[in-house]
Amino acid sequence: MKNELFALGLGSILLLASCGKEEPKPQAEIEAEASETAAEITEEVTEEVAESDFGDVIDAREKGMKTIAASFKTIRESDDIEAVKEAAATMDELASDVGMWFPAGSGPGAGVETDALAAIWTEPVEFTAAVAKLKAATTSASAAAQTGELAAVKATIPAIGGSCKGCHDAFKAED
Amino acid sequence: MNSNENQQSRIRVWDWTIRVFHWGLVFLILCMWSTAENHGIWKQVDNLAVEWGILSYARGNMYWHTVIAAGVMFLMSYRIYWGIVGSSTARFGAFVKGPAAISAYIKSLKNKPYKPGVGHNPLGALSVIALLLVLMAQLGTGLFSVDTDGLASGPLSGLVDYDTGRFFVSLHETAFRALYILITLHVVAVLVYQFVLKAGLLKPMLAGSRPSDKTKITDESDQAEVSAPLLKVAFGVVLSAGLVWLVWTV
Repeated sequence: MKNELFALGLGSILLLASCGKEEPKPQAEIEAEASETAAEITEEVTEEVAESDFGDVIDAREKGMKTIAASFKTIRESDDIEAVKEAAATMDELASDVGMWFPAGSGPGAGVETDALAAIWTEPVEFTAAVAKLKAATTSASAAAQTGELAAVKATIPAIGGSCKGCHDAFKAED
Repeated sequence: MNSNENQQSRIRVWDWTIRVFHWGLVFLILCMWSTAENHGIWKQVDNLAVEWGILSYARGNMYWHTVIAAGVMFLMSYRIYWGIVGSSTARFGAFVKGPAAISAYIKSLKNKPYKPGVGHNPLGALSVIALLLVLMAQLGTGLFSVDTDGLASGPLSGLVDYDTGRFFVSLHETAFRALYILITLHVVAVLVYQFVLKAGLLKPMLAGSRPSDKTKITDESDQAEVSAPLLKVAFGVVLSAGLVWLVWTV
């Protein structure tokens, strides 16, 4: 019942989105797309830093973070292994770059609204460790996704969620 | 209705399920507000849940927001059921009145001393309906909402993507502002009845009854059946729990 209803809902959304389900993408293609997404955001951050446009740095960073959040949502909620595979790959690629999205000058006081706390720059060791925790979690999720076993990916959710939350509690302002 | 002792001096106003609904909702709305505001107590609840092995990791305040929401949905479902088949003062069909009755009621407020009727007055009925509608909007938008970190989400958020989920959050926040205004109005109105019109509404909502001599009894209300037969209540409870179960497990 549960799965049937879920499949019905998901199916109708997929139908609306693409008029039928696509063939599973090969792993190489998934990874190429994921790394492209990550590269786009990181490049944008780098370019805007060069132009000292920290408002746009923050926009790019927020876009990156939202993509991570959206990927995590898919990993938590979807029962479609192909969707989960893509989400895990995207998340893992983005997690590699998160550390580069917080250049000096893009914190509070930049004259731009940001939820990033000053602690990111005053406690760089702790921040780097928190980012590394995310990367470790997403790497295991991505590896689990490649086995094709949904349950194995789901088992990595606590580690991912814990790293998101741990870092946000220490380094991100409340909404 | 069967208690002869009470019937001589007091008249039943609210059945016990309506009172449980009302005060349960007050408590749960406070919890929903507190989890949304991320008060420190939820961090402790989180840590205890992990310590006791209920959760595998600390999920954050919004997770508890989504858990308590199930309770709100249960109460709201029961209220709608009870508004259709429930006791005489709970039924929408009985207490929702047209503009003529409302303006007649407002004019009657000038007659002192004011005596409240048995159930909702025609003006208060508007407040009840507005509160129920806004709460339904709150629930409906919350079901599809996703928190900014993708860490927690409403039970039906799997049906929408992240950006759509965030859009539902903005609706959810707007609906909350409306709810906040309506709750304030509700409390102010109760205070006005208490202190200006000298008609206590609080005690009947707690005890379920009011002294007969302080109540305006019409023919209609004389026949009122302010009761909650167990079988009827049980059916509503099972129906509401089933709906919550369906929404949360789909």
